Amino acid sequence: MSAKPLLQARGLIKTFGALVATNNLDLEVRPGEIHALIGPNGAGKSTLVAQLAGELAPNSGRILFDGADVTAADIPTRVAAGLVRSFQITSIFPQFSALTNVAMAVQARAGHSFRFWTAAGTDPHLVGPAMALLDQVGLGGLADTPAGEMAYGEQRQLEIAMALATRPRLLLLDEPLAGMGREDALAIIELLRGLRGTYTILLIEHDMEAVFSLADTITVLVYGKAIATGRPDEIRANPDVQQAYLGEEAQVREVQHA
Amino acid sequence: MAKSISPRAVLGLLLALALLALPPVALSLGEPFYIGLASRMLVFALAAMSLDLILGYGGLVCFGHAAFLGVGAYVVGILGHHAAEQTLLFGILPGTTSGWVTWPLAMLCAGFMAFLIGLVSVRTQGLYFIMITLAFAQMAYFFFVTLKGYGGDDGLSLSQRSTFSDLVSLRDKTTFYYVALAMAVLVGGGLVKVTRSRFGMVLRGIKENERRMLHIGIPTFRYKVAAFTLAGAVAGLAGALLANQTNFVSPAMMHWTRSGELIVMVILGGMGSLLGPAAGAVVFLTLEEVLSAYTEHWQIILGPLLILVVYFARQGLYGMLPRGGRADR
Amino acid sequence: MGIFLFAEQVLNGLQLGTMLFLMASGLTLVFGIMNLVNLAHGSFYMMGAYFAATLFKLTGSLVLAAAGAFVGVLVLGMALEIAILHSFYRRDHLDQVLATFGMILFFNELVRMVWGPQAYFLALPEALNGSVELIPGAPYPVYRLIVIVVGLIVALGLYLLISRSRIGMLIRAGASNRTMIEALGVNIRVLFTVVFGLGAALAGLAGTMAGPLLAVQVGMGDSILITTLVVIVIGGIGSVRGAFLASLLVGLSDTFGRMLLPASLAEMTIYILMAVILYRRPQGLFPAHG
Repeated sequence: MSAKPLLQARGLIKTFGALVATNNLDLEVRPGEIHALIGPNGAGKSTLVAQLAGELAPNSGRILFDGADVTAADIPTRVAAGLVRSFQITSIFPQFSALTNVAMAVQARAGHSFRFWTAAGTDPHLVGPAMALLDQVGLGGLADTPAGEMAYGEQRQLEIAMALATRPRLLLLDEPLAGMGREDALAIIELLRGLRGTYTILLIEHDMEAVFSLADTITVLVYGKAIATGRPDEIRANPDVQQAYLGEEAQVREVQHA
Repeated sequence: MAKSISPRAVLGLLLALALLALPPVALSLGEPFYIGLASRMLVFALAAMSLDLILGYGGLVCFGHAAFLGVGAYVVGILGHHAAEQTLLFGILPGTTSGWVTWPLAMLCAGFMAFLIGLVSVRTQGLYFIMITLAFAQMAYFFFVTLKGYGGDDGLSLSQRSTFSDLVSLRDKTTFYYVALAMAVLVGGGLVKVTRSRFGMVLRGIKENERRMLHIGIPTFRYKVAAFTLAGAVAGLAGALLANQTNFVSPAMMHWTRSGELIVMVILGGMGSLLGPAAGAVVFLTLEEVLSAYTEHWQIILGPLLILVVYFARQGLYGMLPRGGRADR
Repeated sequence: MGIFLFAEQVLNGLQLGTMLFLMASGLTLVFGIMNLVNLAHGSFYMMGAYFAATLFKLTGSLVLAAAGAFVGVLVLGMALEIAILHSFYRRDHLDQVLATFGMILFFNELVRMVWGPQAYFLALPEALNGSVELIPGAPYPVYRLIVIVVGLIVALGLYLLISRSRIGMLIRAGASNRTMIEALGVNIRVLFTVVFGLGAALAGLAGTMAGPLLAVQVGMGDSILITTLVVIVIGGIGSVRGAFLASLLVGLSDTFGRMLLPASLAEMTIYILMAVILYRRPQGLFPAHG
C-alpha cells in the first residue's frame, strides 16, 4: 500500500446561509483501504458525500483525486476518473431488468454509446460482464427480474453491482446497510470485505458493528469537522469521540435492544 | 423467438397487408380520396414516431415539434418557389424541385434547428423545458409569418411535387402513397433499431433515472441534444412529405396547436413504443375526419375527449394491448 | 429617438407589462401552490373579453360589463377547478398540459359556436377615448393609462394579500406544507378553488381591458398565453415577485423590439430574451422552489 492518498479533501467549506455544514474539513483516503466515516445525525456526512461525488459545489477548499484537482469537475468526469458513489436511497432503473441495470453501467464504462444500430440488449460485450457482476454480488438468479420488483436488500446489492460495473478506483458508499435486516446486512458486509484491496472504499455508515469489523481507518465527523482519524481501536479509545458520539450511540442502541 | 405468436405479431401482419392493398382497393371502390387521406396519415405517423423518440424514450416533452415539420416543408416550398420563378435563393442558389436535393436538405435544416434549440433547451428541466420548446416553436411560426416574400400568413403553393429524375412521379396519388409508405416503414424501422441500440438504451436510462445515469458516468446533456437533433431531422423529412401531400406550405403547419396535436397522437397511441404513436396518428386523423363530417365544430368534442383519454387511458392504445410472449426488456 | 417617442414607448411597454402581470400572476400562483400547469389560462382571458363585450352590448355600462365579466370568469374558473382540474393536481405535468390543451380546443370552439368566428371591435365611450398630456406636448391615450393604473393597483393588492393577510399566509404555507395547513383545520380544497378562481378572474380582467385595444375574437388567448408563459419562465415559476418584474421586462422588451427592429426579428425579441436568461439561470430570475 503506497502512502500517497487516493482521495483528499483539503479545507472543504460548505455553508447553506447561516448553517455551516462542512467546516474546514480535511480528509485522506489511502489506496486499497476501507475508510469509514461516522458521526451523529446532522454531522454533515451527506453534504460531504455530495461534494465529493460532484453534486454539490463547496464554497471553498479543494478535492483531489489521485493527485488531480477535481473540485470543479462534473459528475461524469469524476466517474470516468474512477470516483463513484452509491446511494443511500436506492437509485436504480426500476423498469429495467437487473441485468439491464448493470449492463447500462457496463455500457457507460465502455464508452461507445453513440452507436445507433446494433442492439444493446443482446450485445455480449455488455451482457457478459453484467452477468458476471450480478453473480459476484449474488444476484445471478434474478437477472431478468424488473429491478423495481426486487426485494429491498437485493436492490442494494444491485446498486453495488452497478457501481462496480463502472470500474471504480474509489467507491463512495453512502449507508449501504441502511434499513437492512441482520442477514442481508451480513451478506453485504462480506461482499464489501471481499472488495478490500481491489477497490478503495469510503464508507458512510451508522451500523457500528459493521464499521468496526470492516474499516481499516475511521474518521469521526461532528458538526462538519473531522474530530478524529485513526485505526478502529484508536477511535474506540479516543475520549473526545466517546463523548461526542459513541456514548450517545451506545445509549441509543441499549434502548433499541431493550 | 417465443413459441406462441403474440397478438401483436398477428396485428402487425394484418396491418402490413392492409397498408399494401389500400390503393388498389380504394380505386376499385371508386374512392381515390382515401389514398390521399392514407398518405397524410403515413406522414403524420412518421412525425409522431420521431416525437416518440424524444418524448416516449427520452422523457423530453417537446411542445414545438411541429416547427421541425414546418421547416422541412418550407425547404421544399421555398426551393420549389425559386425553381418556378427562376430566381435565386439568397441571390446565389438556384431553386430546384428535385427531391434528391430538397428532401435531404429538409432533414438537414430541421435537424440543425433542432440542434440549436436543443443546446439551449436541454439544460432546463420539466416544465421549463416544455415552455421553452413551445416558445421556440412560436418564434419559428412568427418568423415564417413575416416572410412576405414566401407568402407570409397565406402560405406558398407548390407548383409541382418533388421530382426524382424520372424514377418515380409523385404526381400520381398511388405512387405518392407507396413512397410515403416506404419512407414511413424504412425510417420507422430505423428508429426502432435506434431505440434498441446503445444510444437508445442511454435515452431510456435518462428518462428512467437521469441522476443515476450521471453517476455511472454518462454525460447526459450531449445524448439529449443528439436525440433532439435526430428527432428534428426525421420530422423534417415528414415535413417534406407533407408539403408534397398538400402541395402547399404555410406557417399554420408550425402553430403550437399542431405541436399539441402531435403530442396527443403520441399519447393516444401509447408513448415509448414507436408503433403506438404511429397508430395514434392514424386514429387521431381518422377521428378528425369522422367528427368533422358530422359537424364543423368537431373540436368541441375533441377537447373533452382528450381530457378523458388523459385521465383514464394514459397508457394509450399500445399499452392496452395484451402482452404476448416474453417481456421485451 | 425623441424624448417624447421614448416616453410614449415606455408607457406602452408598461401597459403591456401590467396586462401581462394580470395574466402571469394567476398562472404562476396556481403553479407554485397547486403544482398545476394550466394552458387554458388564455381561455379565461378570452372569456373575460367576450363576457365584457356581451354585457356592454346588453347594458351599455362599462362598469357593469367589467364587473360582470370579472365575476363570470371567477365562477367559471372555480367551476372548472371543482369539476375537472383538481383531479389533475397529482398528475405529472405532461398530463396537465394535455388536459388543459383539450380545454383550449373546447373553449375556442365553444366561442366560435356561440359568438361566431368574426372579430368584435369595442368602441370606447367618449370620455375614455381621448388623450391626456402627462408631459406637455406629448398626448397619451387615457385608456392605456387606466390599464396601467389598474394593473398596478392589482399588483399592490396582490402584494398586500399575499404578504400581509391571513389568507396570504395560508397560501404561502399551503405551497410548502399541505398537511400542516390541513391539520390546522383549514379546508385546503376550498383554498385551492378560491386561488384558482382568483387567478382566472385576473386573466379575465386582462381580457376585458384588452377588448378595446385589440380585437375580441376566437383564439385571442393563444398568443398571449405564450407570452405569459415566457414571462413566468423568465420570472421563475411560482414567484409572483418574479412575475411582476418579468412582466415589465417582457412588456418593455417587446415594445421596444417592435419599434427598433425589422418585422421578423421584432417577433423574436422576447424569445431571445428568454433564451439568454434561461441560459444563465435555468430556473428563471426568482426560482420559488429553492
